[in-house]
Amino acid sequence: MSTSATVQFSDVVRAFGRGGHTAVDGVSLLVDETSRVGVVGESGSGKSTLVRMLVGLDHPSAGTVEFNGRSIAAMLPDELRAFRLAVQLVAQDTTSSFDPRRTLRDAVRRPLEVLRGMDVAAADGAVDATLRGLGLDPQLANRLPHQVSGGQRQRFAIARALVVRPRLLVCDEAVSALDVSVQGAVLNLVKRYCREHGAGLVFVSHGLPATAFVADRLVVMHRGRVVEDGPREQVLFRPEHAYTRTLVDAHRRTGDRRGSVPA
Amino acid sequence: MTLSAPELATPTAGAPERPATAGPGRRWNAQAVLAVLPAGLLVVVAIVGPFVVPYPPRDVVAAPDLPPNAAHWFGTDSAGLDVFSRTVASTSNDLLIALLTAAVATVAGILIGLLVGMNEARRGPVGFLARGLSRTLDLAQAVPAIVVGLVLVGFFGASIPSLVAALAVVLTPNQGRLVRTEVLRVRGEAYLDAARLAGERPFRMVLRHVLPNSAWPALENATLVFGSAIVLTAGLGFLGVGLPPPTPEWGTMIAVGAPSAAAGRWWAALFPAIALAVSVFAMSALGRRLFRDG
Amino acid sequence: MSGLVRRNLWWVRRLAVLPVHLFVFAVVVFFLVRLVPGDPVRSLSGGQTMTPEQYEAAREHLGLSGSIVEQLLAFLGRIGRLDLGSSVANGTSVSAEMATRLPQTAELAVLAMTLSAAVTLAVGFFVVLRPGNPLSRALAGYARAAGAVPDFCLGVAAIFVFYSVLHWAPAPIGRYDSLLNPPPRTTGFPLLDAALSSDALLLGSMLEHLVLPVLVLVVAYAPMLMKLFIRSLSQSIGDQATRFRIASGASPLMVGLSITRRALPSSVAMFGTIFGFMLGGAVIVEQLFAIPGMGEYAVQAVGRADFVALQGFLLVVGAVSLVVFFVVDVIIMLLDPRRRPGVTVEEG
Repeated sequence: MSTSATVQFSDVVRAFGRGGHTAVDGVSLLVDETSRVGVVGESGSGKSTLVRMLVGLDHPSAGTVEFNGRSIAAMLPDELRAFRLAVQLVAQDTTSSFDPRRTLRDAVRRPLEVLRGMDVAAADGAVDATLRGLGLDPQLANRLPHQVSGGQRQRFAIARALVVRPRLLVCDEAVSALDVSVQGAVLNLVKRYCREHGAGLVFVSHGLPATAFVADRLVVMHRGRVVEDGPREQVLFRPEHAYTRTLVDAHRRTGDRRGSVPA
Repeated sequence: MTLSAPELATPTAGAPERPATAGPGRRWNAQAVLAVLPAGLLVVVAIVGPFVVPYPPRDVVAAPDLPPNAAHWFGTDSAGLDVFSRTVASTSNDLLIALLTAAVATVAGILIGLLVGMNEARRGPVGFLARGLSRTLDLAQAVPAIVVGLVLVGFFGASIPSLVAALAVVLTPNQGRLVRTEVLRVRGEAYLDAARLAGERPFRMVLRHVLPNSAWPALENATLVFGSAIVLTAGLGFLGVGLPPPTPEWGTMIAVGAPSAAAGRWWAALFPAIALAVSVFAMSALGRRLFRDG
Repeated sequence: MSGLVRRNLWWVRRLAVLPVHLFVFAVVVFFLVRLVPGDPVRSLSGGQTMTPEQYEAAREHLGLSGSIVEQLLAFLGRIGRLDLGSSVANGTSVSAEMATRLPQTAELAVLAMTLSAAVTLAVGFFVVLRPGNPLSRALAGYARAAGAVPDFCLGVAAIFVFYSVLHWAPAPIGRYDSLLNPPPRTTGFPLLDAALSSDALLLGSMLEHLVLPVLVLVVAYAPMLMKLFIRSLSQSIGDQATRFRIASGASPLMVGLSITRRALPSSVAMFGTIFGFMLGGAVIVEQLFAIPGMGEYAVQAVGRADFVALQGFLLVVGAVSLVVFFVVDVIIMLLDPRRRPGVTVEEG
């Protein structure tokens, strides 16, 4: 549990196609197991591409993304396995993030089987423990993804990420699709995991309130660049960049009080 | 393409969600029996038929051109072979060829569709080859099936294996195209990302997730492929390049019966033609029952 | 100037890939022939003993001498000169045979295709405009049953009914009465030549002999087109655009034209495939009506194991099919500019 998990972005650029548009344009960023980072920005600001590179689903066109000093794009199978055990993602789209033909149990158990090499019985035990920890009935896991509610499915998505006990948890719009009442409960689960296991959190969302609730450091993205990166209070109350002021003001004006610092 | 896309597990607001798997859990009623019965009967005739026919189907058993009568229910053809015995005995040959063809074309189509769909967007020679194969699948539709079948049989002979191979070549491209389209859709699904995060190797991922989620259009279409294979087998037989006579086969029988029909003796061609049409109907009815509502 | 180029670029681009398609097809056929098991020289000589010189000469004659690359280049070179080699069975030029036989088959397919298109248009509008009519229900049902009864079954039935029983049609032998002289060859298309020769008797006899084969092809393959046209026509009638036109007081003719224009592209897209079926159907129907076309030639070639003739047959049919697909593509792009390659739909 004492090993560190550091992901370092150095001048990362990600462009698509020949002369196509540049989703991420010169980002440098460091996150580790002590981070509670919130990444905010409007849709199209490059957040999702950043996330995909952070978890190793995509690779930069220029610059490097390194995990504990090793470029993720150049990793050998064993290194990649260690990386996958350490960094996990809760994805945006819960409806399509589960194979419609396989049970939820199968999906949650799979990382243990592949990454930890556990047999089915042992993995099932660990799956049940994780599910109970998230307030899910293990019986539900025998259903197909469309046979549970959206909130339950999102908890299964979290369970799938947490079952390998990652050192760094990345959430990409993880609560955006949920009812406000469910959002709070899910956010608390995420926070509790990170507190109890000493894991880092990267929380990506276009919603400032939820992000400010879980993060103590805020990164603001705008048109593929990081325009602001600092402690939560500083970003919220003394923003340096014009775009950040617009973003914060927008939330103020809509009367969303949770935009201010929660207790 | 007449296939309707089944609902996938993409729940729309308020709509009740239903399983993505097509098939089991249907109600069985008179209509269902009506749809499955002809296909079942056909299989029974194909298996049992050759052993219970009244006359040996390959031998001259009576005077030529006898109209249907009590001894020869469907009459005899211009050579004096019993039309009823031959029509029944043909069932196993035509059905076997069509069944094997449908199986080979579907399996090959699924494999090709997977291969093309997974590699089409790649850079380098693999992607280039995959894109070439993809265009070839499109273009293969351009050349008439019976022409390709005719030439292949001409090259490779007219035994059951070579007929199956020739027809599979003709019918595989469409199956491949159907699967390719699905693979392209599945490739965008988030559960493939999830599998990658779970450490799944590419090959296992295709096996566990891409294959089961993209093969269904080819499986649905298999009954139609079966129908096409029967018609093409008979068509080649009709042209005189199918299974060599006196092997009983509907197309060959119709070819033999055609001059008789022109001379007013309808029976030698009519009965095999009916058998042919009934088999095609039976299989398409079965296909509709298995894969569609209603 | 550059505007002119840009406006015509779409079909020029499509035209440019046509030779590539033909080239790829020729290469596939080349390798297909080389997959044939056994030694073609041995199997064609029928087990005759040959001197090594004779054997080599035979190999060379069949284009089988030299390395595979040399063979391929020589093969492509000959095709470029439209030389399809000479028949193994009787030494006649395959190209010359194709030149007389292709028009026979093509004429049949084109006539059937034209008639099918006309029938489809008429039936489509009748069914969609008079949905309650029993006749239109029968027609729609027939369209749905598309392709259930194969062409050759229909052909045998047609000969039995119209020739044998009713005596309406002439004997199913050839293109015209065997007592008449063939038309002087000008275009190669028998019907066209007969019309040009102003031999009324011959023309009449040809038309008589054409009725049944064309009818069989239309009855067998028009339903596929009908099914599609009826479906897209009913969709197009329910469109927002149609309602708008009716609401804004356009004349029924304008409304009809607009509906047809939007229903056509999807049906035209099927034209290529259905023309392929027609061509295949013509090959079969020729056999039934003893028409000396491509199909008859190919069937004879199979019987004689004449792989040069078969290869030529496949190349010609393939080339015709690819050209038809090209024409169909261009027509679709004319009707629906969004399908032109390189067209980007403007946003916003």
